[in-house]
Amino acid sequence: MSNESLKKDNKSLCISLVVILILIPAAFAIGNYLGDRKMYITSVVIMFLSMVPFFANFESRKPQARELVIIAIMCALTVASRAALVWLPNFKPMGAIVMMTGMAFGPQAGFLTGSLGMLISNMIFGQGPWTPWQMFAYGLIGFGASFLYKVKILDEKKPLKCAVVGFVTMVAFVGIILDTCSVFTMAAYITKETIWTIYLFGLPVNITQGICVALTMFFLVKPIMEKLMRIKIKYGVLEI
Amino acid sequence: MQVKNKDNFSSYNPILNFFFFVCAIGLGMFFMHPAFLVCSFVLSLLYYVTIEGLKGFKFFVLMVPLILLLALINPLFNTAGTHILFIYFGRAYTLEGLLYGVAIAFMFVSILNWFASYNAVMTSDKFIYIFGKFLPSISLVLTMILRLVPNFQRKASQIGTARMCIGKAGENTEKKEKIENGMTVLSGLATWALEGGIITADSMRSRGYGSGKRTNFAIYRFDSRDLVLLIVMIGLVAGICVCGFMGGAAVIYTPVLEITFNIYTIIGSVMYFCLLAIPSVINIMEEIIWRILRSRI
Repeated sequence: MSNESLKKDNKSLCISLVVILILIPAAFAIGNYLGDRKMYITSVVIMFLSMVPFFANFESRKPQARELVIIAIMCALTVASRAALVWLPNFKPMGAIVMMTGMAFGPQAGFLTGSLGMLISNMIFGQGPWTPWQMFAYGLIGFGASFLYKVKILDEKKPLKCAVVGFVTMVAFVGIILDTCSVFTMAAYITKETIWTIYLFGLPVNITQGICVALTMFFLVKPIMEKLMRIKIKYGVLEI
Repeated sequence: MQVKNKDNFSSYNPILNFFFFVCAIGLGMFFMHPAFLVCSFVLSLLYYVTIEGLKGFKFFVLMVPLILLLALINPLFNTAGTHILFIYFGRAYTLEGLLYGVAIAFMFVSILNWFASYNAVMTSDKFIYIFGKFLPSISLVLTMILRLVPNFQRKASQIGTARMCIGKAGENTEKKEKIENGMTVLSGLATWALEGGIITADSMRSRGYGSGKRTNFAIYRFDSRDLVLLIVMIGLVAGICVCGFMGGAAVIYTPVLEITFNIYTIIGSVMYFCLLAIPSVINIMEEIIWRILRSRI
C-alpha cells in the first residue's frame, strides 16, 4: 500500500471514529435530554451519522471506474426491477437484489446499493419522512447479506434456504424498521399499545413484501449469482 | 428548472432551497406548541398552493380524512387527561388526549406538505449539485443511476415484448407463469446490464477517469441575493432555536393542558412565521411585480 493511500485510509478511519465514538452518543444524549416527541429527529440524525463511515470510506478509497459502474448498475437494477415485473402489480423484488449484491460484492457494495437505491427510488416516486429509514434498512440488509453469505446461511446452491432467509429479513427486519418510522411520525405516545397496533397493521404489507422477496430469491439467486460471480472473476472487480 | 411551475424560490441557489427544507421539516418535527403548529401548517399549505395551484388544494382535501383519523385515533391509546369526554369499554376518552391527537395530526400533515413541495422544488440535479463537491464518487454513482433507471425500464419492456413475440409469454397466463416470466426478464436484463457496464467502465478508464482531480459543472450561481437570503435564514433559525431553548415553545398536553405563553413564544413564533413564509412571499411578490410590469406595457 502506498503512502498516500495509507493516509487516505487513516482519514476515513478518523472520520468513522469521530462519528461512532463522539457524534452518535452525543445525538443520543441530546435526544434523551429533549424528551420523547423528539424521537424522530434523534433517530434520523443517528441513522445518517451511522451511514457516514460507509460513504467516507468509499470516497477516500478513490474507487475505480469498474467498481462505480457495477454499483450504479446494481442500484439501477434494484430500482428498475419493478419495471421488469409490470405484469405483476405491487410486486417489489428490491430487497432480493440488494441482498444478492451484498452476497456477491461484499458488505460495502451491499450497503451502498441498498441505501443509494432507496434514495433514487424516492427521488423518482417522491421523498417523504420514510426516506432515511428505507435507506438505512435496505443498506443494512445488503451489508448483512454479505456476512450471512460468508457463514453459508445464504448459499446460492440452496435457493429454498435463501428464500426463507429473504422472507424473514423482510418481515422481521425491514418491516419492523419501517413500521418504527410510522410509530415515530404518527403516534402521539410511544406506548406498548401504539407500537403493537402499528406493527399489527403493518404486518400484511410486510408479509406481501416478504413473499415477493422470497419468490425472487428462490427463482433468481442461482442465475443472478452466477452472473455476478462471473463478472467478479473475469474482470476482477470488487473482490473482497 | 421547469417553467411549468412558476416557483421563484426554485431560482435561488439549491443550497438555499435545501437549507430551507431541512429547517422547515426539522423544526416542524420539533415544535408542538399550537402557535408554531399553526404557522407550519398554514405556510406549508400556502407554499404548496403557490407552486402547484389547484393541485395543492386537491392535495389538502385528500389530507382532511387523514387529519381526522389521526386526531380521533390517538386518544384511544392514551387515557391520561382530566376532562373525560366519554367512556368506552371502561376506558376514558379525554379532551386532552384529543387535543394532543389534533396537534400530532397537524404536525404530520405539515410535514407531508413540506415534502410535497420538496419533491417539486428539489430536482435530482440540485441534490447532486449540493453533494457533488464533497462526495464526488457517490454523486457520480447517483448521476449514473438516474440515467440507467429509465434505460433499464425501456430494455425490460423490450425483452418482455420480444418474449411475447416468440410465444414464451402471454398476457392472460396464470400467476405462476407470470412470475416465472418476470424473473426470466429480470435475469436477462441483469446480464445485458452487467456486460454493458463493463464496457462503459473500460471506456471511462480509457478516457482518463480517475487520472486527475474531478471537476464539476453546474448551472447554478451563488449571487448576492442568495447570500443575503442565506444570512437572513440562518439568523432566523438561530433566533428560533434560542427562543425554543428558553422555553418559548414548551407545551404539555396531558394530563393537564399547559400552554406556555411568554415573550419568547411571541418572538419565536413571529420568527418562525417569517422563516417559513420566505418562499411563499418570494413567489407572491414576484407575481405582483410581474402583474404591475405587464399592466404598464
